[in-house]
Amino acid sequence: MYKIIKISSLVMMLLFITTGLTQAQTVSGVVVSADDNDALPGITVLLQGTNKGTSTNLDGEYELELSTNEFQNGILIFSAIGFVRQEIAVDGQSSINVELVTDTQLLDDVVVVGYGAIVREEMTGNVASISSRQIEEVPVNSFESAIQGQASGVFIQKSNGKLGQGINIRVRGTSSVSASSQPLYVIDGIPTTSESQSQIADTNPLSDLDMDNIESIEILKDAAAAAIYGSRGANGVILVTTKRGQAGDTRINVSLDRGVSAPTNRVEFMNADEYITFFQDAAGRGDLYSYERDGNPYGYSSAAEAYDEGVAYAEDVYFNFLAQGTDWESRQVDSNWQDEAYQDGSNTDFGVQVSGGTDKTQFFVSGSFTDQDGIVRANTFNRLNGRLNLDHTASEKFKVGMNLALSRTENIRVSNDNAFATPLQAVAQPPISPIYTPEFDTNGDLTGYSDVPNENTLYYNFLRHVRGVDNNQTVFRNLGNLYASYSIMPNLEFRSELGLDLLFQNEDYYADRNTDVGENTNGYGDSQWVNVINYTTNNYLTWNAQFGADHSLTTVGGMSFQSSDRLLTFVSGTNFPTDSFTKLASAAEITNGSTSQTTFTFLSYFARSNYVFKGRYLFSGSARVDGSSRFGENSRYGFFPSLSAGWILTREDFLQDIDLLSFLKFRASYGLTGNANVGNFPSRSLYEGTGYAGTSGLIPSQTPNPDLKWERTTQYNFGLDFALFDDRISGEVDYYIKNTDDLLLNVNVPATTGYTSQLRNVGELENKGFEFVLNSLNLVGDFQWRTSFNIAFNQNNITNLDGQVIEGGFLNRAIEGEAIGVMFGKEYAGVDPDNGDALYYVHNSDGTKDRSAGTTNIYSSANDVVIGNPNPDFIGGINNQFNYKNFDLGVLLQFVSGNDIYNGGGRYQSANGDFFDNQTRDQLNSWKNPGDITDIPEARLFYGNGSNPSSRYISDGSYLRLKNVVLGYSLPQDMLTKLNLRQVRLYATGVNLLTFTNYNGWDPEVNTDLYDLSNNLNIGNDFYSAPQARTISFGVNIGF
Amino acid sequence: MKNLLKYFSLALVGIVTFQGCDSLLDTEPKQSIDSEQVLTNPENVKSVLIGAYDAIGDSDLFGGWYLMTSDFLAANNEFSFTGTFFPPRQIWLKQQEYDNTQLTDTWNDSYNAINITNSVISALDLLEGSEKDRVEGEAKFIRGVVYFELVKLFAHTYETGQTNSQPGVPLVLTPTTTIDEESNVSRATVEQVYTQIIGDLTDAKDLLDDINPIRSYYANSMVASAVLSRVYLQQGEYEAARDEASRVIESGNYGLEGTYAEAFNNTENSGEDVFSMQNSSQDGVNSMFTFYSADSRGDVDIEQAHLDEYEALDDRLNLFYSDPADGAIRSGKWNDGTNGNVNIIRLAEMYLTRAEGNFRLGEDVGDTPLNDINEIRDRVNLPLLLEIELDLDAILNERKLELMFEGNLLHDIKRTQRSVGARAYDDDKLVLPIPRRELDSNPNICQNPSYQGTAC
Repeated sequence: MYKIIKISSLVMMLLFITTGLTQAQTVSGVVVSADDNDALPGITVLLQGTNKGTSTNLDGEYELELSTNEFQNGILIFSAIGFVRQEIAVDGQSSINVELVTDTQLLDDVVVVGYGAIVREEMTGNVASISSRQIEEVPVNSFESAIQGQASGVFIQKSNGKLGQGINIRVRGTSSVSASSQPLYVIDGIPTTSESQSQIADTNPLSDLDMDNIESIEILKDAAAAAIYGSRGANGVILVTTKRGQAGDTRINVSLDRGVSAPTNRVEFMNADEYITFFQDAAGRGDLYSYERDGNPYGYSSAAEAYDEGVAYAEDVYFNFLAQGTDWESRQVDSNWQDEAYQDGSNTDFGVQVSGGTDKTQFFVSGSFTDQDGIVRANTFNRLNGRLNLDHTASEKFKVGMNLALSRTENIRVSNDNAFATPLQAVAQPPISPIYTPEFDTNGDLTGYSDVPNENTLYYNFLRHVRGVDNNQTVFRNLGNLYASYSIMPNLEFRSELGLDLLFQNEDYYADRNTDVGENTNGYGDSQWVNVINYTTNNYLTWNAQFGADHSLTTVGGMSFQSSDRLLTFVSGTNFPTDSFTKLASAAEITNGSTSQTTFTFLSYFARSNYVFKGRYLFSGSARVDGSSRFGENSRYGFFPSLSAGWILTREDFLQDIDLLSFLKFRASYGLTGNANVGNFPSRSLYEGTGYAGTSGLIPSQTPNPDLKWERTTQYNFGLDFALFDDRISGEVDYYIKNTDDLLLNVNVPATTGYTSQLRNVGELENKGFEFVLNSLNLVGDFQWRTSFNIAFNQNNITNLDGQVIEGGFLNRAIEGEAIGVMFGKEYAGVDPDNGDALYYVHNSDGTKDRSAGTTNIYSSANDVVIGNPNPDFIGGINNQFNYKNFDLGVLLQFVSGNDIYNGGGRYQSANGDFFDNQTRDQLNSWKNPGDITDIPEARLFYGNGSNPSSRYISDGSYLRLKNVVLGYSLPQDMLTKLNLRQVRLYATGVNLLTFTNYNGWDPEVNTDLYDLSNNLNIGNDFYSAPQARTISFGVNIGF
Repeated sequence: MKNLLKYFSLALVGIVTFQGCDSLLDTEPKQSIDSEQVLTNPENVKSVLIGAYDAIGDSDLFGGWYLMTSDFLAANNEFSFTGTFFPPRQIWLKQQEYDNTQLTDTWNDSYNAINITNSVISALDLLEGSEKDRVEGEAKFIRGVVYFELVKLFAHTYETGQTNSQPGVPLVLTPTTTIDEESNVSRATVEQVYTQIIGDLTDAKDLLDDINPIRSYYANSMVASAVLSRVYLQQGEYEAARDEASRVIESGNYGLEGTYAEAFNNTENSGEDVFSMQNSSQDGVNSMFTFYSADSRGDVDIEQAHLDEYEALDDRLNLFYSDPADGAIRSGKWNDGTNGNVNIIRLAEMYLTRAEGNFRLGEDVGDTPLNDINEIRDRVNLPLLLEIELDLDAILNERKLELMFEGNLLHDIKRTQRSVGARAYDDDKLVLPIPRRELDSNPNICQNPSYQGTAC
């Protein structure tokens, strides 16, 4: 069977004209949507086996002249993107009206790729797509949520449950050590600023996007797809395409969604009674240990005295202080500090979209706002968006258009995970500490609490921050682009695009006199403005050619230039007249002020050809030459080619008769991509300014490396696409190998040089894996059930680091022969049943594991070995979509498996009473008497028995999560007609409703914001990180 | 087809001319300049010298951790580090490992400062006359004093009257321009390091004026003498130590403040500050404040055992205070915010050094040991000692109490071969390990006894 699907009606028209007309039988009709009977413009109508065809006009009408033979025996094919194509025998009818059904399968889609689009069937690369339908079915208010679990091979990890926080996205594993492994984001053809601009923990600039404006998201994964983005393709490319207007009636969509959220999990900590008993014993045992085994430094005369003195110390020095006058002995105060860290989360999202136009001009206008209260105390996020997308056909040859999106995002942030002021660190406060200041009557009896947070706590009371700190990040974002295209010849088009991505971010901070930041300085305020001015121009030619019936060639060639300027202004001040004054104008002392600027540019030339022979042999080649200001004089330009081929077997004669197989394609690709995600001047030898006592000075800041060049990733991809049973089951299988060499590596150098690291091209790493995608239409008819399943296995291995040891995170390392970021340290061996000492495996001094070397109770005698791997073995998701009459139900399960998480807070939270931090309840099971078999060492206050970093604090981070459930109801057509509405859908959604995991911390989807996300080694760490939110919301979509 | 080609070439020409050349890729850093432009004129060389002061004022060096590291190692039952911050806590417990981030930072930042001074020294030919002398003297002073702190912390102590062939620290005396095999330096002996230190400090003493003509708080000849007095004292060269200390006292440029409290928490040098790191809201961080003060972390609890060391009337006791947050006793020496100066050498120390030197030698150069000690005691309202009460213990005890929490105790214990609790002065754990990062990146560096890594 020979399917021809054309990208645009323009090309069809063209072919139609060139074949000429010889006969005069006419067939005509109207094409409407089976969903709502609306006329469908732009539907391709083609006579099978010929180039003869037309497309429908604004009213859905078409007319086609046929020869007598064709009029009797011909078959008309009605097709368009997003609809199931229909084949109807003409059979002598002069009028054929058609209802087209919305397509639910992906195979016929057109896929956006760099600088163009391609029919999915004819694609030779690997691209994961998220369509607007998927986004509409599952309402999400963040970009990453739309992809997570839905795109195969794309690993998404949020830092924590704070709003607007940075995310990790890895496409087919981590392909670099020192350079960022985040993908390139391209919105409507324009590379976009996606790096955090915050002075505190990373934020996610993609949270400025309004999801309702997105038509599709494509993730270019293999080299055939990504090499057109050359030096920035190695981490994958995420293309975002926004919605555009269609000619026809003006359509208005209004949507409203309101929800509530709560944390996915709470960790159990001791209550006051448990705390007191536990720490009395821990203090007693601590002093007992000092008497019996540590040389009796306090001069006790007996074991009993030592124990009692220890208990007395805890009571007199700590409990009495912590209780602040309340009676801890009677457990008068039993504070649940964890509860204080949370608040009731909620969200309201409202959006209006209007689209329509004439055949000359089409528009899409939208406006929306979202207002979210996070689950973490005092954390809020709100955003206003506006967008106008306009297309105008000035003449047959000339088209112009623009996209303009404006947004304002306001994020009231909380302190980083490692600050005492971050809400989750409140779990460290002892439960005998009152949360608010206790008040007493004249007899000294507790009468209640004032509304002032208790200032006399073990650690800084974060509620003082909640009250006294404004930490307000406001982002103004302007994403715009203009394009013009001109048809030089009917099949040759020149397109020019100019894109501007403006990001203005202000971080306004004020800490009043009652906070630790402002208490000594009569308030502290700062303000940081960052302006990122990022512009791009793309200029390219597209040539579509059809040579005879067998050869079709699409070629794109052109250039691109991008320049990005980042300007920063920072001012801080102290000594404010009162706390009513929070702006620096009122600061008596300006303590710091700074401006800085940095720039990078890319100049690129690219070309790509797709050649289709006989509709079934597919060949594609692309090449890009990239020049970047970031690299050394000696290697400023890089060349990134790719080659790929595909073979559609089902279009071969020998497979024509196998009905069960409706589509089968093999594809293979090879290509080079690069990574340039490094600082702006890494190759140069630099001095920077400094100052001492008000006099300016100079200090060396970087050693030179003029040979510094691109990191190169060579990727092979072998895949197969298939469809069975008339497309009821379809899927993709891919195997890839990604080899990265010339790694951009921050190589440790001897500090005796005055430097600690130098960026060099050293080392190699490899990612390889399988990806499977399976879509099936399990049930059709009234009750429809569709399933999409994807799973991706990736194996990362650092093959060569030239002997370097690179460290990150708490225990993360890059080690030759291991996956990136493995945790390296002491292996915990449990507890010595005889004396309660924590034990560690000795292993070998060269880092190889050998448990037969025995255990030791001396931490430093144990050798470091690999004790964990933060990279998942496989990830994926299963989405089930059920439709029955007017009801729809979507259930998305998402899973991550095989990754380890190191809880950096474990040594404080679960340290068997090493210090007075409240402990997780499992510590009650600590070793007490000889012979006790337990994993928790004897509680010895201040003696650090087992609290040093080790595998004790590593646990399996695998999880299966009920990510999203949506139940929707659409009003029936007759009711809509009465109400004069086009569409009404009511729905309820649940996000993160259930999580199945063995992880013993808050939430397995975690990567603490204490460490910079741009460092690839900072993975798999938890540190008082807030859990994700579980959200239940209700919404309505109304279409006019 | 002809038309097609024509359009193609037209468009291509357009594209190419639109961009022209790769000058678009020429961007310049705005906050930095290329090294080649730096050491080319006198002004820049002097600016790099300022950079060297900034480098040693770093919180990991004289901004605090040179002082705290040695004090925490010297801690027995007299004070406790009660913070949960692990790197200093390990040091206080004498359980520091070779991957302790605090000592790693101190090591790294010290060599950063050394590289800066080496850059200055390498470019002295750009300067002339007295200016050249001044810049050379200050740079060598900084290099010498940094090496002195390094060798005291990272190597076994100097043993008087012996060949000190135990491993010291690597001696790097030229600026780094490229990093290659030759960058893998090995450790010089303690003797070699001391020779270098004395050479640098003696040059500084000879080259510099008695008062720095540019800024009073930059190094001068007296500051060099004061540090030399410490170096000689550490070596047990009492005569030389005494002479250098006496030279500082006799200069008349310094005088004890009226009260003990006035010697601390200053934002400008007090009359008795021979050398101190300058901090302000604009630059520098006083990390002593960060860890000692109740207004900050308040991590160092002073135990009664320490307070018991003082005589009842001692005015120095009045500088201790009770932390309003938790009732712990804190030292009041470091209570002036992160912008307060960090005292490095006070005149009081010179009196104590001269007294000790004279006492050991049985001499009265400058003044009698009794008078010098009583100079210190008188200021803090203590009864003057009688000749009969004066012995070495009295002098060393006075030295300990006067200079407590100022970074001297460990080095005084080592040179007098006393002990820290049960640990002898030459205990392996009273020496820091060479950081793991350094061992990993330099195969020629060896480790101190008792620590992980290839032993020397």
